[in-house]
Amino acid sequence: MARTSAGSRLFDTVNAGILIIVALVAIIPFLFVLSGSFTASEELLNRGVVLIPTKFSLDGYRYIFSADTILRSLGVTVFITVAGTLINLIFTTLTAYPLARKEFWGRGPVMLLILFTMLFSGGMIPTFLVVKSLGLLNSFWSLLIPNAISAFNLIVLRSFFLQLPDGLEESAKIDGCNDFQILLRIALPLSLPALATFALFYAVGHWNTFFNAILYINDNTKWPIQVWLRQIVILSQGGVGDSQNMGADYVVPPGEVIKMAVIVVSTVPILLVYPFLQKHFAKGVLLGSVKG
Amino acid sequence: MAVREIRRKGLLAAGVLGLSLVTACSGGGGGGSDSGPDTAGAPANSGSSTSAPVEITMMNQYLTAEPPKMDSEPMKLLQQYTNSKLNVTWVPSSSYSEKVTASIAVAGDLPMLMLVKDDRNPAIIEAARAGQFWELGPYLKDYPNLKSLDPGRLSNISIDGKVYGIYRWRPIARNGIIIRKDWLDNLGLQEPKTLDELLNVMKKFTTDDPDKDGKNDTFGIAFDSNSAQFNHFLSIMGGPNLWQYQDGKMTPDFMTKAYMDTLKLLHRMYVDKLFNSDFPVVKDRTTLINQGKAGVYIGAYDDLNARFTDLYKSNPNAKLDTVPNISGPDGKIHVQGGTGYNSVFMIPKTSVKTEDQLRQVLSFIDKLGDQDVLNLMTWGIEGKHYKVENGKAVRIDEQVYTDEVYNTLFQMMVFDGSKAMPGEIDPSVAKFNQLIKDNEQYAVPDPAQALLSPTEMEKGTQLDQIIMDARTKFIIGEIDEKGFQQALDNWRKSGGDKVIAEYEQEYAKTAKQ
Repeated sequence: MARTSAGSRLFDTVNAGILIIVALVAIIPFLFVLSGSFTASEELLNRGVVLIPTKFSLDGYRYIFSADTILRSLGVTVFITVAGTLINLIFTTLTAYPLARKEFWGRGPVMLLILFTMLFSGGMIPTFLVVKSLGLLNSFWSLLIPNAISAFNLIVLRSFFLQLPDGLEESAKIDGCNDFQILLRIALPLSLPALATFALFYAVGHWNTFFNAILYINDNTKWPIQVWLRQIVILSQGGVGDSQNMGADYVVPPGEVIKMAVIVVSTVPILLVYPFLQKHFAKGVLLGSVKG
Repeated sequence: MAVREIRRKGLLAAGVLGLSLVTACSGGGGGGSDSGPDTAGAPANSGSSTSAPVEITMMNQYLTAEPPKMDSEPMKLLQQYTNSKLNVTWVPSSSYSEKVTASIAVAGDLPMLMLVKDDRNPAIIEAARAGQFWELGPYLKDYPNLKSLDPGRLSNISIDGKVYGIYRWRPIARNGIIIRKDWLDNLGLQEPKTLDELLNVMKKFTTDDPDKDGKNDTFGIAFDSNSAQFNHFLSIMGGPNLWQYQDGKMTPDFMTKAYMDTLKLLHRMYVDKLFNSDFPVVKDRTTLINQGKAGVYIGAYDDLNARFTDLYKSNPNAKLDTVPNISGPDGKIHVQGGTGYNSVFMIPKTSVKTEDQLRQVLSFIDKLGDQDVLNLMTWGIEGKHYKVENGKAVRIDEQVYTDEVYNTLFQMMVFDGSKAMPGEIDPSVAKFNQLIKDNEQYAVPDPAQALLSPTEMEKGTQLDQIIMDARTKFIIGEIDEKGFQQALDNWRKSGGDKVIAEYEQEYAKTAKQ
């Protein structure tokens, strides 16, 4: 609209230039892994960074899909992510909403207790003991229940609920809604951006589940894909083979190509979720945090 | 998990105590433990083949991408041979130590047989001292295979002089020199036999364009941040293996003259550009070999087969070969010795409650040393993985064997495979197997191997770091002898003096026993 001065144009150009560089820095590693996973291994070794492969190869993917393990683990991860995120959202909402209601007696102390868990956590061993004595070991529940509510997400969601106008609620009540109906018909639809954001947070967390699975689950058919991914990546760095002086249990590590193919297979599905939730993203986190 | 740097506590080498016994016992048999309480009327072979299979639960690691399958044919045969029903929790090697630590801390959730990788770890030692594991020493003599376990190696795994585990046998010293044979031929050079000849070869590899591509793009030797190479040179120069014991005094290797000589040697090599100058940040030196940029590799001899496939892919004319270890300035060959084992099996008392149960578990391990089992692990199944020609086993397909047998069973390989039937193997493998065997006589032991120092357990990593930093700086010329001396003083003040004192005390104590 307004005529731009030379100085402002220069500023814009420099700005765009810097942003493009920053974007490239973020994107190139991904592209490298992606194209690397389609490259023949000799080329990868000799050329270093390959963005456009001259020798195309599907060896990495062939290796991965030759075993049923990775597909099964992928299935496990999808299940954990979907079921876990649902559980997270239901429990987080059911806790956050009452805590946002002014007529809920004793919400102060409850909030304090929740805050406390953010500052001090039990740690690995006590948590393990709890999981064990609840009989959750070796079942998917051990990955779904212990982290059902994230204290931080709960607090942000509660502030989101807090800023809903009281009048809305009152008029709903006058129209004959009970508390549940208010939550379902009024509060939740209005908090969709926040819910979408937390769904993404939780989903990524579940997708990356690794350590808990190792700790709580002995049956390797129930392991999520990250366990597999980590093993392959570490093997290919030669880090697991015992130190030089120790045993000869050395197994030929999977090549770089396989490593990259695994990274692609295990990260692309969750990356695909982002574009769909992206529009809610900034809005959800920001709105929730305005009134802390 | 980065390649483990020197781990003084985990570090190999037969203890001096064991040294005298190693040679005596490598011929098999030997006295075994002749002390220990008398276990009256113990059946030497409990669980005869007619009785029902014994259920054994085990926690073990796997080093492949996928866990071994329990319903594979070799695994079934193993259970049949050992008359057991195995229930193994396979844990990926990348997370194994965490899993063990958590399991021990919680107890109550332990298997009957637990593979412990990091057996010199304070948590394990404390657990053993607190009586969480069975002391196995007194029982070993009742079993035909277990009683032939090497006392030197047993002493290496002992805690306060007691044996709480069954070690998994491995060669004492695997390290040696792997060299580009085609480069030697291109330049008309001989295999090096002495340090000077090796230096000469490396110099020619650097300057004389051994790959004949007209470009000055090669190094003599591939170097990375791993300590194994430095220690190898240190041994060649006649230095001790991490610690030296003399007249009641313990001295760490870096306080010896040989260490300073080695530092100077490497500094000279650095200045002459015999190795890659970015070595402090290089994690894996095999890459340089695979890229055809370096001609000498120092590491395990058996890496020859496992780690250089990419080289042949990109350069089918390349030829790598193992060469015998070279003699140092004193005209003798020295190689850094190892502990001779990799991980131990321990038996938790929470899961194995009675002595009868203990005997069942021990008898299972004992059977892993039977000839049938060793044949299975070494060769696989006849007709499927090997055939017999002239009384010798011949492998049918290396890859099939690796996938179906080696990767599945090798984590249970407790004994050395010498009882398995003789076989025809690839000449290059036969060669390095012989070299590894030869190394045994040149191995320099670490006198501190079986000694436990609380300070070292607590601060060992930081202490090692001080010296390693100074070492790197010296090699690249950032500090001189005086600077190294300062680092040394820093080491002593930061707890090194205490480590020395504790080792000396421990040494005196164990020597008395």
